[in-house]
Amino acid sequence: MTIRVILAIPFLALAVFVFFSEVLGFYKFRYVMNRMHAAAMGDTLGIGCVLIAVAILTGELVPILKLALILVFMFLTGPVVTHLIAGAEVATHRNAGQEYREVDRR
Amino acid sequence: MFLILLALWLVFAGSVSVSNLLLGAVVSGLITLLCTRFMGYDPRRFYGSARKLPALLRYIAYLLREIVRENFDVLRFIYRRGQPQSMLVRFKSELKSEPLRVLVANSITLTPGTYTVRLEGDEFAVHALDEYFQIDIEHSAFAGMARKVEEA
Repeated sequence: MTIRVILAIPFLALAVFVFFSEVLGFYKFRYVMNRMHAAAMGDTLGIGCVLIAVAILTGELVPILKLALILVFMFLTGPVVTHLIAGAEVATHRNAGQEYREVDRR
Repeated sequence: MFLILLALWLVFAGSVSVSNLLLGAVVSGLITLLCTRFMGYDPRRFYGSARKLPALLRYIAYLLREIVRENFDVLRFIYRRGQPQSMLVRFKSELKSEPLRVLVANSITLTPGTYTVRLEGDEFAVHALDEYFQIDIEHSAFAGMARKVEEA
């Protein structure tokens, strides 16, 4: 049991650090489309580390499979929301072009 | 699809017993039947695409590695002074199949530092946090990996 806790703590610590940085980045970046990059970190590495830590702590097959399903679900739904927010920003912000540089590589 | 649904049922049920297996088989069979009748699901095509599985697994492994790497890149930008020089990159993809294009768009969105704003036909519009991340888009490693899945 204690070995599991010792193994899980680094992952939990990394997750807390990632979530903290996410909030920090949220306040540091000034424009919504940059802030979304910071928000993407918690959805991927943050949640991944939490799930790995919980998987180590439980150590049974079925709960681990369920945790993997949570990760799959997060990975499938996360991009949809990002996509919608970005689309809405580009469509409604009149001066959105001033906030970033456009590069054409077609 | 029947097998995937059955596996999902067993994971949710939590144990492999005769009653679980029987009930799961009935429910999975019903759903598969409904999908075949009304939603255009074709078992032959589904199992025919199983040969793409190794390439797809390699793609997923690459995606996970990329997610971790880019997470630390974004972390660097958060703890650095000054605002990043964000940019919107438009480029064309040579991928022919639509599901794979969506897969690539979602992969780009999943990796922090870049996300897809728009995908119309074969044209991607990707927002990058900084010039640094744009290098990855130009290489479009995801598209290259997806092409391997397409060709498999």
